[in-house]
Order: sequence, then C-alpha cells, then structure tokens
Amino acid sequence: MIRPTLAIGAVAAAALALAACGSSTSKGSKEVAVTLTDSGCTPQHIAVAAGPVTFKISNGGTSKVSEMELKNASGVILGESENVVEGIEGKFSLNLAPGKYVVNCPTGDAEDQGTVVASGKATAAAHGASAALLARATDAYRRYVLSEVALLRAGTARFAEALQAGEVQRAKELYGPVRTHYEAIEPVAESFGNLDPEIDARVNDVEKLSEWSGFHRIEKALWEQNSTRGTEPYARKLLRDVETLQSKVKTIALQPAQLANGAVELMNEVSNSKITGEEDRYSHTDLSDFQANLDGSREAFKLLVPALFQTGNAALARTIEARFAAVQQGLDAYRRDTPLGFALYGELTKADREAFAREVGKLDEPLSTVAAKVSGA
Amino acid sequence: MRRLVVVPMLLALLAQTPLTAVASATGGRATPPQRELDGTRALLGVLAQTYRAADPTHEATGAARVRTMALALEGQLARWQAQGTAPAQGATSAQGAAPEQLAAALTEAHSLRRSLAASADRLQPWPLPLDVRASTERVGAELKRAGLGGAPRARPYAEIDALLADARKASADDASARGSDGGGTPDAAISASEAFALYATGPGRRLRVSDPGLAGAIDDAFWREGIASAGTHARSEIDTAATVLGDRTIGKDTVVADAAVIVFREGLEAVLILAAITASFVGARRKLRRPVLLGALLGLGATAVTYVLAQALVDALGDGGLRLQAITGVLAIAVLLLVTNWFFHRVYWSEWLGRFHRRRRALEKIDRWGFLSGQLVGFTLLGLTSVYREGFETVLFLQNLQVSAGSGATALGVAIGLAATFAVGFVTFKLERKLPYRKMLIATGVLIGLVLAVMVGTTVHSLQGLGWVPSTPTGFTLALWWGQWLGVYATWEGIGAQLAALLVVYGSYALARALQGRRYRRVARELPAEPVRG
Repeated sequence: MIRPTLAIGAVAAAALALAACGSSTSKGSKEVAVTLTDSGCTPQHIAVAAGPVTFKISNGGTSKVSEMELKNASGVILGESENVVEGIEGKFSLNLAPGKYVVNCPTGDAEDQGTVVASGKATAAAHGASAALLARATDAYRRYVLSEVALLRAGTARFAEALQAGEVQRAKELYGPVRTHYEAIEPVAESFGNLDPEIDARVNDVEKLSEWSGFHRIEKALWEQNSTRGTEPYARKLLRDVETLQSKVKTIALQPAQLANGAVELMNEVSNSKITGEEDRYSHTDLSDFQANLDGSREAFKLLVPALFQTGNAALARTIEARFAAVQQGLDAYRRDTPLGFALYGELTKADREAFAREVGKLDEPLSTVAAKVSGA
Repeated sequence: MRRLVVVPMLLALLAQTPLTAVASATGGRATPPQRELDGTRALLGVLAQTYRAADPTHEATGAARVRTMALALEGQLARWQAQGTAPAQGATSAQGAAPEQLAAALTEAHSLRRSLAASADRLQPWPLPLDVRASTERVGAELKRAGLGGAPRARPYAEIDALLADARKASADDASARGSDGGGTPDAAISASEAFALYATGPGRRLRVSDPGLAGAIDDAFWREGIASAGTHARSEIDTAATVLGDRTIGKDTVVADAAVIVFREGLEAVLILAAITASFVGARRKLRRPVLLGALLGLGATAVTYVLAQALVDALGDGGLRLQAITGVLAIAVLLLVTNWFFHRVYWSEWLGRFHRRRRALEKIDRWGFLSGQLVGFTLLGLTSVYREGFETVLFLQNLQVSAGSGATALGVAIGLAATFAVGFVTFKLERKLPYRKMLIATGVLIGLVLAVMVGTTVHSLQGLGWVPSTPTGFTLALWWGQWLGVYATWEGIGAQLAALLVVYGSYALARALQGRRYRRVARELPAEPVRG
C-alpha cells in the first residue's frame, strides 16, 4: 500500500490535460512552494493561474505531517507527494483546469484544510504529434490498468476460495502473486478515497485492530496463526472491495502528468517505505511487491517515451530507461524458482537494502522531471 | 543526523546498573518528587505519539528522540528503584511506590527500549506503533498500581522549570566531578526529557497551533544540542511560550525586578520607621533598641507566615489560570496604588510616624513607672507592627507575581530586595551612618511607578483574556518583549490604563510637591538624621 494514498485519479481536468509539451521552463509555467507543518500545510489557500503547475513540497514541521494531496471537487486525488520529511522534498506536476481544488495535508486530526483556486482560461489543448502521442499513452495506460484489475479480481476470487476452503498452503502461495496485480496499479486505486486502505492497509496504518481489513489482515492470520480460521469475512470483504475498484477504474480519465507522477510515487514508495520490509511484515513476500511496483512504474514511463522523444527529451528518456534496467538487474539477483518467484525479504542484507534503495533513488531523480515535461509546466 | 550525546551515556549508566538486580530490589518507600512523577507520565504519552508520527516514513530524527525518551524512562524508573533503598534528598516520604509494581514497570520499560532499538536502522521493520503504545500503557498501568498515577497539570511551567533546573544541576555536578564541560549526563537527560514531555503534552500542544515557529524553536532548544544540554537552552523559550499562550502575562526578568523593587521599597520604609523609633534611644536608653529590633525580626517571621498562608489560599483557588492572575493582579495594583499615592503618602508619612512617636513616648513612660516587662513587650510589639505592616503589603503584592511567573523568579526578586534592605539596615543601625534616604525614597518611588504600570498592563491583559475587559486593537503591532518586559500589549484599553496609572502616580507626586513640597522635604529630612546622632 502506498500510504495513505497516491494519485492518478479520474478527473474533469483531463479534458484539458494534454498540455503543450516543452521545456519545464517554458513561458507561463508556474511553481508553487508548499511547506508542511505539524498543523497541515502552508499556504493554506493558493491562487494560481490555470494551466501547468508544479507543486514543490518541503517539510517545515516535525514530520508529523508528511504528505500533500490535491483533490478535485469530487474528492479524487489528482496529484500528491508523500514521505516528505525533513531533508526530503517532494513535487508533482499537473495541468490544472480553472476551478477550485482541495488541498489535503492530513494531520491525523484534520483533513482537507486548504484550497487551490485556478483562475483564467484553460491552457490550450496540446496539438500536433506530441498531443496525439500523449493521448495514445493515456489510453494505453488505461487499458493496462483495466487489464491488471481484471487479473486482480480473478486472483482475489481464487485467494478467497482457498481461504474459505481452509487451504492454508494454497492461500499462502496465492497471496504474493495475486497482490502483484494490485501493486502494479496501486496509485490508481489510491485515488478512490478509502478503497486503498480497505484493500491494502498495513497494521501500522490503523489505530485499532478492529478497523483493519484487506490483504494484510489475512496475511497476519495465515502466517502468524498458520490458519485460515476467521479469515472468511475478510476474504469476502476483500473480494467486494476489489470488485468496487474494478467498476470505478472503468470510468477513469487520466492526464499524462498523472502517469508520470504515479510512476515516481511507485518508486518513491519502494525506496522510502517498502524497502523496510513492513509491507509484508508477516509473509516477507516484499520482493514480488517490489517487482510489481517496478513493472507498473516502468509501464507508465514506457508509454510516455514516444512523447518525450518527440519533444526533445530523448536523452532523459534513455537515462531513465538505463536506471530502470539497473534496478531490475539488482532485483533479478533475488529471483527464485518458487510460486512467488522471489526470495523472501529476510535474505536481503543491510548492504543489499541500502544498495537497492540507492539504485531506486538514482532512478527517482530523472523520473521526477517527466511530469513537468508532459504537463507543459 | 542530530547529535544525541546522551544516548551512549545513558547506555553506560544502564550497563553499570543491571536492571535485573534493580528490578528485584525492594526496600524503603520514597515517593518521588511530583515533577518527576508528572514528567514520567507525560513521557509515556509523548513517546508513543512521537513514535506514531515517525513510523510511517521511518523518520530518523523522531525515532532518535523516541529512543532517547525510552532510555530516559527506563533510567528514571531505575533511579526510583535505587532511591527505594536510599531515598533521595527532597523526596517526600510517607506513602511510597510498591516495589513489585515499580519493578514490573521497569521490566516493561526495558523491553520497550530494546524493541525500539530497531528504529535506528531506517531500512528494516520497526516495532508497530500499536505495540509501542500498548507497552507505554502497561508501564503507566504499573505505575498507577504502584500508587504513582495521576495526570500532569495543563500549565506545568513550574515543574518544567524545576526539571530543567535539575538537568542543569546534574550537568554542572558532572562537569565538576569530571573536571570537564560535562556535555550532558544521564541524569540531565532524564530530567530534560521529562521537561520536554511536560511541555509537549501541555503548552506545546496549543503552541503548535497558535505559533508553529516558536514551537519549532522550542523543539530545537530541547533537541539541537542533545536533550541532556537542553537545561541551558529551553527555559527562556518556554517562558516566551507561556507569554504567547497567555499562560503568563509577564516575563521572568520583569518579575525578578518587580519583586526586588517592591521588597526593597517596603523594606526601606520599615528601616526608616525603625530608625525614627530608635533615634532617641541613646546613652542609658540604648538598651531599648533591642526589643524594637526583636519585634522587627518577629515582624519578618509574621510576614513569612502570612506568605505561607496566602500561598495556601491561592493554591486552594486554582492552578494559576488567568482568573487567578487577574484577581491577584487587581489586588497587587491596589497595593501599589497605596504605596505610590504620593499625595496621600505625605499625610500617611507624617501621621504614621507621629503615631509611632506617640507610642514610643507612651512606652517610655512605662519605663519610668517601673514596668520593665510591660515596656519590653510594648517595644517589641512596636517593632513587630512597624515591619509587619510593610511585610503584609509586600505579601499581597507578591501573590500576583507568584501566580504569574512561579516561585523561582519571585523568590530571586525577594532575595535581592531583602539583601538590599538588610544592607541599608546594617548601615543604618550597625554602622550608624546616614544614607541619602530621601533620594532613595524618591528613586524607589519612581521605580514602583513603573512596576505599577507593568502590573496594570499585565492585569488588563489577563482581564481581556477572560473577556472581562474589552479589547480594541491599536492597529500597530508591538514586539513580544514589550509585553514580556513592560506589560505593554497592542490594545487601547491596556495602553490607556497604563498611561492613566502613570498619570495618577506621577501626577499626585507633582501635585504633592507643588502644594506641600516644603513640608514634605522637612519631614523626609528629619527621619534619617536621628539615628546618626544616636
């Protein structure tokens, strides 16, 4: 789970999303600096001209608040930056249509504290070859998401059957592989409010155990108790939630910057959070999650490559591709001939974890510049 | 990564003190000082909260603080265990902690500390926040069962001050013992961690909302140089926070100065009255000085008793909130107006002194009638009443300072004022030298006028905080120190009241001088001359 939520949401803004491509310093580009504080974020109310905007987020508090989300009027997350703590900044870019947006810097006590008002005319729609390439990218990514969600639903149904049948070993073997279809498209799921926590909350994320459900609740039972007892209600709910997800993603609309933001957030999540081994704390199947995150991120990037080439960013595209390959090479060392396909997390040494985080960090750096290029910011 | 010098030192302390041995220790029952109890209970909550905030991103700074807090918690419990057999000085005895529960709390705290060690490496699983919270709750439950339960006050400034003082003392003791600069000791880290916890669960919670910048500065003051060094950095920032939050309407430096001025002024008056009474006790009657001075000492004692009673009354009224500040503030202003009412003061001075002279002469007659014991009692009472009257005024006034800024600053001011008074008394009675009393009276009068203006400003500020006085912003802003040092806040009501007070005091002085200048100077001139002749 990317905590608490990430972006790639459906949005009306998508109508004007296919922004003019070009340099990140193109005329009219805007940057908005936002500082996270312990009581939310500042400035709370932001006025900005409609069009490409890059939000740069830093932490000026004690890291009690570590993320910022930008939502549309329907509550769908358009962009976000998380794991922003002292010394680690975040950013995301969007092409904002005129209108009012909600800023959420969750403190635990308060949410949706701020607003962004984008005024003026919408940026002219992208035109020419790059516009067509970006439109193809978003369509293709949407198909990828639908395909992964279909596989997730099918896999979850098998997983639930195994649980209901009391087949512990089969359920354990299915757990990791089924989750990969969720991990690959997690940013999309996270844009739908509480759906992600219902499906993928870690035990760390909940205040009370009674509020906990989803994959990891079942994981705890399977590996700690070595039993399926008591998991049936969770299995039924999980399947219902996945079906809801499937119905929601069918209506999704995307803008190119969201693909790039999502790709970055997936890798940030790996380097800042999943590398700790807490995602699959009980089963230690984290490495297959890493692979799924990498696949999902790489797929989103790959679809944007033609537009990057078209707009004079070929060198950037090649650099990113090389760094994806380096991360993949590091991960390939842990492939195993098991149902999961990977070693368990415990095989990673401290040096391995640090090296892996370093490689992912190297990838993040250029990858985080893509959103601004494809949104025109 | 911030420097946390205390961590290895605490570990060293704990290594030297096998916890299993400590946990099995039983012995005497000593209840720890209240500030330590409050600080430890606050530490439990802050530790769990800080860990909850640090865990999602495996944030290193927060985690390091949590580990330090866990060390401090375990260190404190171990210290209490050790004090169970040899109670520390200052600990109140009577009902003490049950050793079994304290040992259980210590075992749990030890386990918590060990589990949190994992958080030193960001790239590995950390303990669950749920488990950390449960562990702190278990420690809290054991402490409660041990008779060490309860909740800290909402405005625990006095306890924070005391704990920071403990931290400074521990650092100084360590530096003295090692012949080095100390750099923070385990004991200092424990006290400072508890001070931080009391701040964070009390004023800090409100400050983070009302003034995040100051809250950040206080965080830095506690943690930048390592918690064990916080004793020297955090205190003034906490004072500022108290003022910003309206918990304290006056700065500590101002309180020290105010207390010193009022004690010296009243002390000076008492010395002059005593000097006037004893001026004619020369030659064979010199022995009559003794009962007067004995009475003066008794007057001081009676003043001290009154102070204790007043404190008990104030304590019974609440924990130092704005309401109490406002009430005692109004009382203090009344006292100051009495002291600084120059026009009235001229009459008071001459009539009051005339009364003493009449009483003295009456008592001298008793001597002629041969009732020596009656005379002794009479002169003793004369000395007592002449000092106690000034002492009573002072006690009333000091209550407001005590409520506003705690006992430390007030006591320091009182000590300075008393020292100056005793110096004047020594020169007057022992060396029998003439001092420029008139100038001293005028100088202290001017200072008291300023004290009154500050007191009026802070009291109006308190009354505005309660909604008892309207608050109209001036339209211009004032730096924080205007409020802390001078009691000047940017409202027309506050500034207007201060100007009115100054006008009343200095206006009455000018009027008194204009109308009765010659007579006043003559009276003032008469007073100090007599003892010198004796």
